Amino acid sequence: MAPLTDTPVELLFKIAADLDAIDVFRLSQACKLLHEMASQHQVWATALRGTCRSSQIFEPTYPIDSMELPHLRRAALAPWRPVNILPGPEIRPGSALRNDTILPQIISGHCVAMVLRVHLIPGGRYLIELVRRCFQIWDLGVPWTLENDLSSPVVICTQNADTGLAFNDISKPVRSGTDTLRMIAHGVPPSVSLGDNDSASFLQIYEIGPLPKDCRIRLLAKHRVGDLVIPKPMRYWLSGDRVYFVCDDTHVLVWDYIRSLYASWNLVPSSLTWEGEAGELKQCTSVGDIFIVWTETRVVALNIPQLCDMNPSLSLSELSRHPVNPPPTLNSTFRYPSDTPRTRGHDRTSPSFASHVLIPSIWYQLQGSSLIFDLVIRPRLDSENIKLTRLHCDVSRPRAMLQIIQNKTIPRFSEGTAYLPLSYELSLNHAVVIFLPDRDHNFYASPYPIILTTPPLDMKDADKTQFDASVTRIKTRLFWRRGPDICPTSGRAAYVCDLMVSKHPDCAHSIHVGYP
Amino acid sequence: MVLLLTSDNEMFSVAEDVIKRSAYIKNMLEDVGESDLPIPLPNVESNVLVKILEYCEHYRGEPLPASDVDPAEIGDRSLDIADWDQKYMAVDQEMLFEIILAANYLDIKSLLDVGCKTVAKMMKGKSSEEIRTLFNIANDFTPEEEAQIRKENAWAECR
Repeated sequence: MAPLTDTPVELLFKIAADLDAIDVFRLSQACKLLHEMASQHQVWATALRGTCRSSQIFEPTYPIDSMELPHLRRAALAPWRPVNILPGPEIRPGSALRNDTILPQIISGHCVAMVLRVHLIPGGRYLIELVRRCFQIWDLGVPWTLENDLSSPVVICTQNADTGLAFNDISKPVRSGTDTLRMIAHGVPPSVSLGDNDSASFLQIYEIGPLPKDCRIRLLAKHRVGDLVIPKPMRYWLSGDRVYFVCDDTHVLVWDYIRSLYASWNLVPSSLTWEGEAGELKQCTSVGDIFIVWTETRVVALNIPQLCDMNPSLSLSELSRHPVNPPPTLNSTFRYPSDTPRTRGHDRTSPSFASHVLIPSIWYQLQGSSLIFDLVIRPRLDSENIKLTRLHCDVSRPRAMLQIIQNKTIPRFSEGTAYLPLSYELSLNHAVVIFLPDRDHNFYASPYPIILTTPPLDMKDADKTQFDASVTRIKTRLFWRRGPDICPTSGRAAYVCDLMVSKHPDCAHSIHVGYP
Repeated sequence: MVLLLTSDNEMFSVAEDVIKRSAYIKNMLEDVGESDLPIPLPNVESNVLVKILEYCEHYRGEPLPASDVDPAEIGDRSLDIADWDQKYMAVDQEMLFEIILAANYLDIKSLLDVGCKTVAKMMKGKSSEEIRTLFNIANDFTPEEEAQIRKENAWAECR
C-alpha cells in the first residue's frame, strides 16, 4: 500500500508546488511514477518561480514559459549548486563584455567614459554599467542555457545624467515588484572631483522596467544632498519605498521618497547605550523596521521611529540633523563574544575586533526575531588566519547575547600576502566573499583574487563538524578595479579591470563577465 | 440539515452552514435547492467523512476563502501550518491521503492546501531513499535507468 503513488497526478503537482526545487529533484528520483510526474513542464516552471522568490532572483531573468525542461531544471536548481564548489581549483575568468582599449576622451581632467561601477542584477541576466554621463542596462542573455555563453550582450536602455550633473555612483538595484528594479543614483556637478560631496549634488531614485518586454527608465524622486560636515563617503541604500542615507557615519536619515516622509537620528548619543566604547561604525543595514549597526565592539539593532512629514526645501543632510521624530528605541544590542580577537597593543577590557574587522558581517535573514549573520574577521597581520564566525541572535530579547553557531579558521590563502575583502554576495543559503591581494603594501603579492564561499545556512546538526568554507583562486592577471558584482546562482560575475596597456590605468579598462 | 450518504452506505445529517465549506456541496445545494434526498458521496467512506466534518465543524462560522487564487502562485510557499491544523493532520498516512482525496473531491480548498502542505513538509529535506522509506515506495528503476538518471543529474547533485 503506497498512498502517495496512488494519488492523482494533479494532486502530486499541487504537493510539488509547495516544495523547493531541490526537494522536487530528490522526489523525482524515488520511483518511475514520481520521475514521470517531475518530467512535466509545469512542475519545474513552478519550482523555478519558487527559486526566484526564495533566492531573490530577478524573475525576468528567465523566459519561464518558453524554456525547455532541462533548462528549467538547471535554472531552478542553480542556487543549490555552489555548495558543491570544492576548494582548490583555479578558475580563468570568462569573456570580456567590453574592452576600451582606446584612450577615452578627457574632459575637465576626468575620463568621461571611465566605468565607475557595474552591478549584476541577481539572476545574472541584466547588468547596469555606470559612467559619468550615463548608465546603461545590458542584457547578457539568459543564464543556464545549455550552451551557457555570453555571445551577444546588448544595451537595452540608457539614462543620461540630468543637465548640469554627472553620475558619481549608484546603489545596488533592488526589485520593486516582480519585473521592475529601483536604484539610487548620486549625481554631482561635472566640475566636482570624484568622491567629493558637494552641496549641489543630488540623490535620484530611478525605476527600471518592466523587463524584459519594455525597458523604460523613470525618475521617481530627486533630492539635494547638501553639505556634509566630514568628508566621509556617504552610505545609501534602497529598501522598498525608503532610502536609507547615512552621512558623516553618524547621522541616519530614513526617507520615504514616495510619500515624502522622513525620520532621522544621530547614531552616537549615549541614550542608545553605545557607552562611548562602541567605536567606529563598520557596517549598517536595515531589515524591515529595524536598523542594524555593526561597530568595533558590538551589533546594535534599533527600532526605526515613525516617519513624519518632510520639509521639501531642506537638503538631505539638513534633514538628517533636524529630526522631528522621537529618537529610535533600542531593540537590542549584542556585544561580540569574548573569544574574538582583541586589539593588539591596547589593553581594553571589552572584547573588540577593532581594526581587525574589515568586513564585519554578512547577514542572512531576520525571520521573526531571528537574525543570523557571519562575521568574516580579517586580521591585520599577514601571519594571522582569516576567521569566519557564524552568529545567531534573537532580536526579540533585549540585550540578548550573540550566540555563536560555528567558528571556522580559514588557512592563509597565500604566504606573505594580505588580502582585502572587496565585496560579498548572498545566495540562497550561503554567501560568497571576494578578497583581493593587498598590492598597495606588497607589490610582489600574488595577484590573484580569491573567492570564499561560506558554508550553507541550513546544515543539519550532524553536518556541523563540516562547517567549512571553500576557497577558490581566480587566475587573472587583470587587476580588479571596481566590483566585482557576483551572482552565485548564475555563476556569473561582472567586474571592471585595468588593462595593463596604458599609463592611465583609470582610463583603460574593461568590463568582464565570467563564470567564477 | 443536509443528508449525506457515504460509499459504505452510512447516512450523515449535517448542518448546512457546516458543510457549505465544501464548494461541491454548496454548489449542489444552490443548483438543486431544498431536498429531502441524501447527497451520495461514492468517493468518501464514513470514517473519512467523520474526519472531514470535524474540520468543517471547527471552522464553522469563519468566512469561506473568497478567491480561488493558489497561494503558491502569489508567492506564499511557506509551509507554516496552524497549530490546530497540525494536530488535526496528525493521523496515519493512509488517512492523510484519504483526507486529501476527499478534500479534493468535495472541493474544500483550505483543507486541501493544509493536506498538501503536510505532505510537502514530510518530504522537505529528505533524500530520495528517505522518501521511499517514508512513503513505502519501491525503487522500480532498473540499474540502467538509475545510472542514466545519475548521469543526467551529476551536475546538480548536492550534499
